Amino acid sequence: MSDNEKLEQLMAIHTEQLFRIAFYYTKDLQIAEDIVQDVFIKFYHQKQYEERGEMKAYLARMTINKCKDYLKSWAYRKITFQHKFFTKQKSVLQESLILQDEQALLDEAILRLPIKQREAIVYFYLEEMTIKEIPELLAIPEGTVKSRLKKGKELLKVDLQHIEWEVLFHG
Amino acid sequence: MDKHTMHVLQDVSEHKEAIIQKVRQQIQQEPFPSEPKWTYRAVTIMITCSILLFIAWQAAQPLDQLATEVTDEEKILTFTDLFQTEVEGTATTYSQYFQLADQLNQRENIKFYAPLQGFKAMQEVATTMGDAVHLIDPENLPFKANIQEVYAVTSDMKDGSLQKQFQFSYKEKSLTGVDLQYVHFTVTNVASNPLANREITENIESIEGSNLKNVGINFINPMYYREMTPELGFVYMYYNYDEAAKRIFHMTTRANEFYTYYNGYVYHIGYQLNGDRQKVQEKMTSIVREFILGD
Repeated sequence: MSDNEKLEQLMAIHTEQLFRIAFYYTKDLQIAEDIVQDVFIKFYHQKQYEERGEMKAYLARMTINKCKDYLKSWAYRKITFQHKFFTKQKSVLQESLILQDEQALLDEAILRLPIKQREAIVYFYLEEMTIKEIPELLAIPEGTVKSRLKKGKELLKVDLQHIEWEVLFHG
Repeated sequence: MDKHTMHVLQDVSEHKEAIIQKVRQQIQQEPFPSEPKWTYRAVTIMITCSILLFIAWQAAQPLDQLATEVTDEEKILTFTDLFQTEVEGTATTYSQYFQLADQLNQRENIKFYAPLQGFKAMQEVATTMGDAVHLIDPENLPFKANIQEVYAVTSDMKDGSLQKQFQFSYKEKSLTGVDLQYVHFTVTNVASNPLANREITENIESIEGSNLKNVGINFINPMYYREMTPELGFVYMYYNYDEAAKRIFHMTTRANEFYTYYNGYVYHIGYQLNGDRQKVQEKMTSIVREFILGD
């Protein structure tokens, strides 16, 4: 199998998950696309397919690292600054949107979580990873993952306490 | 909480297609074939280009000039052409903050060379480095540099290959030999990305009072900036030359610093300039990005 064929196969299998991961961090679909594209190109140029053990986890870690680099970059800070600057206008618009279902509110609340708690929540609940898999992916102890999950749920509860829940806390 | 998929991520097939298309396009534009094929293709392309260039050159020359020899201007100088005088040296320079990450403080078989003077010499050295360096015209610096010089220090890497460190210096030197204002761009080829180890970089970022800021060289690659902190123990080092003793020594001082890795090179830039601190920093950030990436 040629390198290109291997890459095609990898992209077919992993693109969707990596794209979701990139979105959890960047909260921007376009930037998530760019990051995943960059990950595949970097991976292709590394040319070490056979030496990698767990391909899914390896690509996920590459994506997470790229996302974290992006979150530290000047480009992201500029966007964050602009976002803060226009928050007032946005909130007025949001208030006018009366109909917003529970799912959308939950999505927003998850994306509002601090990055550490958000990571734990999305990998456990949204990506359905096990408590054993998450520490390996994030290179942190299992106990830390558990405490971040707990804290994340608490923060979500507080954030969403004004709504009656069907989707949250029944699992 | 039950299984939940974010609304915007419920159907990502369009994004998936877009990513795959972009990756395919990029790979087609910049082919990176496997090693044996790459060698054959490179040789074939070189031979073809040489033949075509020779034919074009012959066609463009009047007959009476065909016998003229290639002028010196067309010759691309190599490192050994440029740095011919080995001199004594005391110690090498490196970033005190990132020494754990890049280990440039631990070099072996170190050789120092007499620095070359003038912007033309800097350009010739930059040419040997391919696309790694985009020299800044002295006119575009925020101060008037009366000295432009380039230093070279070599050492052996773990795999036995040669590590070359260049320091491109722009200085305003006083009549008494004091560096009043300066910018030094130090570029070193390395085997791996020192910023790839997140554990180390996070430790460095968390050094108390380090005041490190990630200003980024582009959309994705980080670049750290550290403002001069006279009260802290961390110093900035750069090469200087004692003409009388034919010896390279390193100046130890404090400066504003940039540090990054890009395409196989570590870039460590130090500057001390007069003027409005904030404006100078903004200008220097832009200059450093241009030095690394080009226009």
